[in-house]
Amino acid sequence: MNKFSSTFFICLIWFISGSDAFADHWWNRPGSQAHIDAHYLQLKKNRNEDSDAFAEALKESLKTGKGMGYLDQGGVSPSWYKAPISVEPFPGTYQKNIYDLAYSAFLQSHQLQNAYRLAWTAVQKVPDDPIWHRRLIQVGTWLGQRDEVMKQWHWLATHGDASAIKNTITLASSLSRPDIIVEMLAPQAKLGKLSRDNWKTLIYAYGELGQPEKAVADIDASLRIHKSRFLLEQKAYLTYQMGKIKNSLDALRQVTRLYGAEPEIALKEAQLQSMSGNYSNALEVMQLAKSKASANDVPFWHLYAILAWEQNDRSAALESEKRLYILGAADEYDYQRLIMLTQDPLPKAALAVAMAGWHKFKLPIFFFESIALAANQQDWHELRQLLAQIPESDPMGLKQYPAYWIALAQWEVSNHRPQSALNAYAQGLELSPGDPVIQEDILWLLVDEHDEKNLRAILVGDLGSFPNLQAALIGAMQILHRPNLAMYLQSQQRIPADDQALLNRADILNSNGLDGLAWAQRTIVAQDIAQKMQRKNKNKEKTS
Amino acid sequence: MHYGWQLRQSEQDDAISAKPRIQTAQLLARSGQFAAARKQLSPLLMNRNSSSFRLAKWLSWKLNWEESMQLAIGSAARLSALKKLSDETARMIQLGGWSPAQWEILAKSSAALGNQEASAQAWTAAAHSDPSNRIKFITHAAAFWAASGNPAKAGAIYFWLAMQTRNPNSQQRFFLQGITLSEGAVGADKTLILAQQIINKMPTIEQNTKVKLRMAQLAMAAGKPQIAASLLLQELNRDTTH
Repeated sequence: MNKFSSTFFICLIWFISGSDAFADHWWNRPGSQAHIDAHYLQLKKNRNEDSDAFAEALKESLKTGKGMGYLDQGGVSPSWYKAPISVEPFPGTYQKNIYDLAYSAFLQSHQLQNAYRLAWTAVQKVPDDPIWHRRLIQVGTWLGQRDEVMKQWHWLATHGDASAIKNTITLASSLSRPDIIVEMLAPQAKLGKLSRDNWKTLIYAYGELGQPEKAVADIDASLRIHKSRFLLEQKAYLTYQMGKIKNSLDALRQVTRLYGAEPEIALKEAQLQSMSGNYSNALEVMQLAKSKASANDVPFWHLYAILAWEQNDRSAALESEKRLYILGAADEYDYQRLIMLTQDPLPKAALAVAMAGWHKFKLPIFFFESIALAANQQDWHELRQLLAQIPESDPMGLKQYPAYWIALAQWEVSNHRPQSALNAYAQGLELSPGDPVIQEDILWLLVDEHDEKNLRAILVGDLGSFPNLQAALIGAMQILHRPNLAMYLQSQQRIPADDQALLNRADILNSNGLDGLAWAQRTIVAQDIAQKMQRKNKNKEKTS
Repeated sequence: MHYGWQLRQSEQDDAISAKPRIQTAQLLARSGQFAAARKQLSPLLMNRNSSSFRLAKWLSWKLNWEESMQLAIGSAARLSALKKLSDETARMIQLGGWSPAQWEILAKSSAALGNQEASAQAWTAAAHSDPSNRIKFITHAAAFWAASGNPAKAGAIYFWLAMQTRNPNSQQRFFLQGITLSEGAVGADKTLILAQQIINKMPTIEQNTKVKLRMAQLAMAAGKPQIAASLLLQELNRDTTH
């Protein structure tokens, strides 16, 4: 069955290289870290574009009271929206007793509009009196005048009222005023006095203003005063966003240096390293933190698996991919890698993974992997079941691939139905005329069946038109009683090394009347087999 | 008829002896002989219907005043004397029929003796006795009613004064005082009604900023913020810059 194995491998290569999904260059190969990076960068870009569009719509809506279709059903402004009140100040001079009493009277008689107008006028006439700013905040809040309220909080905050800073920031955040947030928080940030939450707000505000470099400068100023893991991580993130991979890496390394290797930081560092194409460095970083990674840390093991695969560290890749598979966190590319990693040492496991991939993802590649592995392992029962799964309508178009017909033909051969197998191959050839794999399979089938008639029909004409089918043609010539031609074809081939090929060659030599040479070839094979058996027996003794 | 004669004789005696007795008493009093002076006057004080009774009464009160004031400050005798004097002054006021100048003296003396209510009564009587100084005396009366713990009465007088006066400044002052006293006495809500009634009678007073502010305060205190807001809104909308 070796020929079937090689057939399927070739078939699989053809399938992979012929498929559009795999036509990209290596740096954009699905499943590679570069591809994942590109995917996440695109996602981030889309998300940023979406949020920018949303922010723009919200800003416009706040100004006009219109729009925001999904919030503003039926053309009615959302209940939280209050249009800015156009205030005409009271005439005359400011008289404290009148203004004070009037404010109370307006509030007690629920004349909030007049109270707002009064407070607004008072703020214009006596701008240095904090009481009137506070009153304008009070009544402005009731009337939903958030812009005006924020303006007054801002005034209080910049005139010595420390408690007003928090309120100013809260409102500035909801009103998309990053400039105010920066003005409030940046001085404290530079002095290293900012809480973690406020740092987040400040960094976000710098982001909205498109000034991440200023956020980094503030972080650096704060880091000069005292160390902070949080700020180093923020710096790493910001510099990464700014495309300064080296600076980002430096920040992450500083975290590791100060606080020890940790999976979370190692993951980020490895991502950056892999983005720069330094896969070996990335893998090294992850290996340092590997012992601390929890068993279910999916992002860590995922990247570790990819990097190990890229670096050809098969045992590490297999360990990680197995973990992801067991956790149920493996994606389609993990399945593909796992199949490739297991098919040699554990072909049964590879078949199980391929079948699980087929059930989970319903992708043709897993179907063809499954049938190839089942056929290679002569698991005819599984192969039959897999083939039987394709409904009559064939919605996925699996029967449009020659690989399907090859697998079906193999199954028919296994059931000693050569005619049905030939029919299946014929279907495959129809889909892929001149397919050398199918042609070779057909030749071998006819050779195995000693079907002289059909062989003669197929091979009529110029044998040079089958340059890749030498081995099959040699077999066919023997069947067709053309030993000298078989001998000629074999002389064109490179001298085969394996026992089977040597025995074939001995047959051809016999057929050509060269019995001595044939005997010599068989002797070589016999010696080789004897040596192998001896070695096997020795190994058995050792293990027992 | 003996009785009648006796009476007539007595009258004759009185008429004849009243003047020198009074002069003697005055002389004696000036030289500090209060007991002798009082002795001279005592026969005259016996007959209420006598023509010299009121003069003698006045002189006797004066004698008592001067004698009491000469006692050592803080002494028990002085305190006792002042108490008696205060009672006598009150009786003098009850007696009535004094001249404006005497009423003024009685009013001031009562005040000095700490009897604010008697002083207020005296000022009121003074106002009745002298129409030319009526407003002045009534104003004093109101002040002493207020001081004597009768703010309702005092307030009513100030409101009355506000309506009687032509001078806008005085009008405003009396009105505001009336509000203050009345509010303390009968409460903000009743005072508000009262004040509004007065404003209805003389609407110009409300154009004053102080009045408007006070009315607004009153309305707030009376639990009528709508009224306060309306008044203050008028004031706020008035362009006072020109």
